[in-house]
Amino acid sequence: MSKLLIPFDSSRHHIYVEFELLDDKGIVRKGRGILDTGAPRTEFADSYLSHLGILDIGHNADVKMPDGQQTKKYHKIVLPSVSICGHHFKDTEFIVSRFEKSWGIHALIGLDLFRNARITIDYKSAQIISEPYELKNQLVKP
Amino acid sequence: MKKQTWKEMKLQYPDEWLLITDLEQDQYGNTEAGVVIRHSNNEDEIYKEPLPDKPTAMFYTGESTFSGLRSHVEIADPV
Repeated sequence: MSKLLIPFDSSRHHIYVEFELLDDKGIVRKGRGILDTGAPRTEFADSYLSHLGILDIGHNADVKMPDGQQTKKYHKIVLPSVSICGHHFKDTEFIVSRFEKSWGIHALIGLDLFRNARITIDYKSAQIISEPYELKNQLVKP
Repeated sequence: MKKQTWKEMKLQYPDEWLLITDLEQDQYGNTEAGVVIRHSNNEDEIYKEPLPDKPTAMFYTGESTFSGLRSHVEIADPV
């Protein structure tokens, strides 16, 4: 994979990133998350995964947020196919969280993305620049 | 239903959840246009009927209230 330039709207308060995953029927569903460089791992909203038929919330329906917080991590799930910023995650484990409804997003995109590639957030040009580590290594070889 | 750009959708449906089909994306993979088939200010309303058997996008047109307050405690014993 070559270098990717992903534009974002720098006038907004957060950096919104589109992602896509496959639902329980293998149909592409696109959603939106916030790039959260303080999150060690990407989290998906349980309600979203449930609506897509991927997650059965079941007895976790009464999960409550800790006082003063807007989210609660409570589960892990292996998703067969997720694409974020041009990076494809196959059969990868993600965190499932209860999000505050008013967040208006389906995911917090965490550092998993940064482990896959060299990510630069260029606010001046309003772009996320994603470069695979392999390419970088090839360039420095004699 | 007619195809609209994302900018048009934001203007027509401020602070609403949209279910969009017939997606058109730009060269970067970001959704540029599509057909809004459901909209509501309540996300759950969008899912009352089954999703269509074709690619869809679900976006909120407003600004997130995410303030960064979240727990980073690892799950020791996942459910």
